[in-house]
Amino acid sequence: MIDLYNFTIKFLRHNGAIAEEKNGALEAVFPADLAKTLKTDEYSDIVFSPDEKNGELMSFDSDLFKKLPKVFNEKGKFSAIKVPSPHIHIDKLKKRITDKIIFQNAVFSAGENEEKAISYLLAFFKFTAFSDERREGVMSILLNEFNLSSARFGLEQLDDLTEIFERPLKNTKKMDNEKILNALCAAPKAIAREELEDFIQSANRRLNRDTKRIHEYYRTLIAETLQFIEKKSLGQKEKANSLNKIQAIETELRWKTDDLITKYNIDIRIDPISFIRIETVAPIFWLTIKRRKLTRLFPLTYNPLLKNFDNLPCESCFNPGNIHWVCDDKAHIICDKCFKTCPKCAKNYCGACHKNRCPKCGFIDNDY
Amino acid sequence: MKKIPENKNTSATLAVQTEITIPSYKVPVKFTLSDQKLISEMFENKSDLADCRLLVEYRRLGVQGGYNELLCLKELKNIEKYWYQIETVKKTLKYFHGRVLLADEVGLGKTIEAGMLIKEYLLRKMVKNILILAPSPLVSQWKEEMHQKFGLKFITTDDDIFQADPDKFWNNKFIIASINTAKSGRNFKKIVAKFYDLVVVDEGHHLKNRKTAAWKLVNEIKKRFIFILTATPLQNNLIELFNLITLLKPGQFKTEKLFRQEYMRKKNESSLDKKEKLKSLLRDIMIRNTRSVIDLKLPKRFASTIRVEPTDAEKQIYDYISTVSRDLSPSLPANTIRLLIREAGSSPFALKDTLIKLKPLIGDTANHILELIDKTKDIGKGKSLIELLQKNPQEKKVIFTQYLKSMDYCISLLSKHGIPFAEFRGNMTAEEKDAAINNFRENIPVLISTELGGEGRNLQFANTLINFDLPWNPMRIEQRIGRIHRIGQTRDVFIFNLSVKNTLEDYMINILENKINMFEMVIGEVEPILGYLGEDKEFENIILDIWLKSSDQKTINKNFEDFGSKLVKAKSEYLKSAALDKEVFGEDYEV
Repeated sequence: MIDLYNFTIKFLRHNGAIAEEKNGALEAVFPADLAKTLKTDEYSDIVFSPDEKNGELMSFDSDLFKKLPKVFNEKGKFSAIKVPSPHIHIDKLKKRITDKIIFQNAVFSAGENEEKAISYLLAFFKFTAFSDERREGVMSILLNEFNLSSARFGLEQLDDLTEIFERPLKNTKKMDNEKILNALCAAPKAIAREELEDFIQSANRRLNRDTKRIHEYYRTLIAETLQFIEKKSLGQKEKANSLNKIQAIETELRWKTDDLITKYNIDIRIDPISFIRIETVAPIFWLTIKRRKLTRLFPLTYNPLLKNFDNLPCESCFNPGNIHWVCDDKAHIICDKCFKTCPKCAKNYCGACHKNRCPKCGFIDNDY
Repeated sequence: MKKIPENKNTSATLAVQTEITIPSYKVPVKFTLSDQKLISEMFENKSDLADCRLLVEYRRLGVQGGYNELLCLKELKNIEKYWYQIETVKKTLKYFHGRVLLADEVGLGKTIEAGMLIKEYLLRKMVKNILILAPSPLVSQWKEEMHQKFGLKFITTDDDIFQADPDKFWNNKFIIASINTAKSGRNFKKIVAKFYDLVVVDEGHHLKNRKTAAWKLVNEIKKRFIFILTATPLQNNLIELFNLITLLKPGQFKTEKLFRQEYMRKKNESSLDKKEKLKSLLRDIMIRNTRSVIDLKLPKRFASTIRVEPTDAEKQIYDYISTVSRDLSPSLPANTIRLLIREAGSSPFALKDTLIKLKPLIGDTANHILELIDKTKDIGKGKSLIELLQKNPQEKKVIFTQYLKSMDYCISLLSKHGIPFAEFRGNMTAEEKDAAINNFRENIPVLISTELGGEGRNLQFANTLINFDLPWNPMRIEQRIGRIHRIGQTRDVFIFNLSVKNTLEDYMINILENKINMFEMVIGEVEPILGYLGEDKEFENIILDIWLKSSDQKTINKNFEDFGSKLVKAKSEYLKSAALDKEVFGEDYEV
C-alpha cells in the first residue's frame, strides 16, 4: 500500500502541481485553482512531521489531508477502461473446466463456446463496524457484469495491466442493471463479514464471557437465597419474600442479558468509494447444469484479469467461494453458506429463494 | 459489624450446586448500505482511472487505525494534557472497552480524562447519546467544563428546559443530570427506559450502597459504556468497592457473600485477604493514578490572609448592602442577591453597575449607596495591596480579581504608585492574551487578571498570588492557586488573601483556612470534602443562606462556627477514606 508521502507526490502531480522531494519534505508549486481549493500558498513546502514548523503539515489528521476531498469533488467515483483479450488455446481451456467446476449436488456438461465482449466492475467500498469497539477498512470486489460471478481483486493488481484501448467496445454483454445493483449491494456484506471475522468473533467471545459471568453471579445469588430458605426456620411471610427475591433476581438476569447483547450489537456501515468498469473480450463456455429434473444454462467465463476461469457466482450473497450447490426450486447456484440448514427444523433451503427464513418452520436465522 | 455466619459450603461447593447450562449467544450484526440510487448516480460522471486510483488510496490512508493515535488531542482547548491522562484514555478504549472505574487521586484530572474519552468516542462516532450523573452542586461545573474545554454542549437539570418540560428533557442526546433528581421516581423510569451509549457517574462513591436509589438507577440504566469517577472508591469497607465494581461488571467478584468469604476477614472488613487475587481482578476494571507514580512533587505552599480594616464609607456600603439583601431576599432572585454581596465583597466599585440596575427595586437606599461609592477614592484593600507589591518587588506576582471594576481600581492604584503591570482580561483576543503573558514572563513584575481571563493559563514562572477578592466557590480558589502551583513550579508558592473584616468573604476564608486548612491541602481535595458534607446545595449557596439568615454579628459567628464544625467532620471522613484507599490500593493500578 502506498504511504502518505508517495501518495502526496502522486496526488499533487496528478492535479498539475510540481512536487519535488526535499529532505523528507516536498517543495511544491500549486496551480492557482488547486492552491485556492486547498487554501494554501502557490509556493509551499509540505512537511510530514508535526515537529517541522516551516511548511504545511500533511498527516492523517492534518487540515491539508482533510481538505483533499474538495479537490476530488465528484472525480474518481467511476472510470471505465478496456483490457486486451487474452490469447489462449480454447480447446486446452475447455479441458480444464471439469477440474475447475464442482457442484456438491448437481452435474453439468460443457457445451458451446464463443468469444464475447463482456465487462467487469471493480468496486471499492469502505466498511465501518461499530460495537463497543470500532473497526474500519477498505475492501474491493471484481464483479462479472455478464454472469455475476465475483472475485477478490485489489487495486494493485490493475498495475499489471499494460494496455488500455481508446475506443469503447460494442455490444458488451451485461445482466440488467437491477441485477447488477443487487449483486453490488449484496457482495460487500459477505466480504465485510469476512474482513471483520476476528472483530465479530471477539465480540461473540466477550459477550459469552460476560454472559457466563452474570449467569454465574445471578445463579449463585439464587442458590444463596435457596440455602437461606432451607437453613432457617422461616415464617410463611419471610419464605414468600425470599421466593419473591428469587423471582426478582431471575428478572434482573434476563434484562441484564438483553442489555449485554445490546451492548455488543454490531452495526456495519458500507459506503461505496469508487467503481472501475473493465471491458474486455473473453471466451465463454456454456454449461448445462442438471439438478434432479431441473436444467439450466450458465455462461462460464475466462477472466483475462485473473488469467483463470471466473468462479461460479453465489446467486444469493455474490461472495466469491469455491463450494457450490444448486437449489431444488429454481436451480440457483449458491455457496455453502447460502445453502442453509435451518437451526430449528434442520431443513435445507436456498438463501436466494428464501433469504434467511426457513420455508418449513418460518425460523429466521439472524446469523445470515 | 454483623458477623458472617460460619458456612460449611466453600465457594467451590456452591459453584457445584449452582452449576447450570449457560446459554450461548451470537452478537446481532446489522448492515447498513448506501441506497442503490446513490450507487447508480456514481456511474454518471466518468473520471480517469488515475482519479479512481487516487481516491481509493486516499480512503485507504484515511482509515483510522487502532487507539494508538487519539483523535481528541487536537480538538481540546485550554487543556494541559498529561501523559498519564493520555495513557488512561488509551487504556480505557483499548483494554477496558469503555467500562472503567477512574479512581485517580484527587487533583490529577479525572474529569479531564472522562472528557477526553467522551470526545474520543464522539469523534469516532461510537456514541450518540451521553448521560452524565453528578451530585447537584457539580452539575453546572460539569456543563461549563464540557463546553469550555471540550466544545460540547450539554443541557442540565439546572436548566429551565428541565423545569418547563421534564418529559422532553430526557429525550436530549447530551444530558448532565443531578443524580438526586435522576433517581426520583418519575425521572428514574424515564431514564431506565432508554438506551445510553455512554453513562458517566461523577463522585461514584455515592454508589457505595446497593440499597440506595442511586445505585439501583445506575444498575438499571441500559448502557454500552460507563465510566465511574471517584478518588475514594473505598470509604469504609471493601463491600463499597464490591458494589461499585458490580455496577461495572456484575459477577466480577461473584456474590457479596462469596466476596466476604474470600476477601474479607471476619472481624475487620477493611483488611484484606487474598490481596493479590483481588488486585488482579481490580486491574481488569480500575485505573488509579497516584501522585507518587506520576512523580508529581510540588514545592511547598504558604498562605496568609490579610484582614483589612474597612474605611468608614466601605463599612457603611457593605452594611447597607447586607441589610438590603436580607430585606429583599424573599422577593429578589438568589442570583441577584448573591451578585450584590459578592461585588460588595470585592470592592464598592464593582457594585456600582448592579446597583444602578436595581435602583427601581431598592429605591432611595440605592441612591445613598451610589453617592457613597462616588465619594470613595481609596479602600482598605488598596493600601494592603500596595504594601504587598512593594515587598520583594523583583518577584513576579499575580493579582486575581473577579470583577472588571475592581480590576480598574487596581490598575489606577498601581499606576498611581508607578508599579508596572500587565493586564489579562477575558475579553482580550488570543493574541493579546499571549502578548500579555509573554510580557509578564519577560519584562513586567505584576499581572492583574480577571478570573475568567486566567483560566487555563499556566503562570508557574511566578510564585506569588494575591487574591484581591475571593470567589465563593472553593474549587475556583483552587483553580487560581493551580495557575502557579503546578507541574513546573520549582519554588515555594506564596498566597495572600485580602478580606475586609466582617464581610461574608472574611467568614468564609476563616473557615476554609482555619477549619480545614484549605491552603495547605492538595489541589482537588476540597471537592471530595464538600461531598462529605452531604449537602445538596452548592457551597456558595450554603454560605449565602447563613449570611442572609443571620441578622446580627453573634448569630453570624455562631452559624459559621457550626458550619465550620461540619466541614471539619467532613474533612476527617475524607481523610479516613483517603487513608484506607491508600492502604488498599497502593500504587498498583496506575496506567
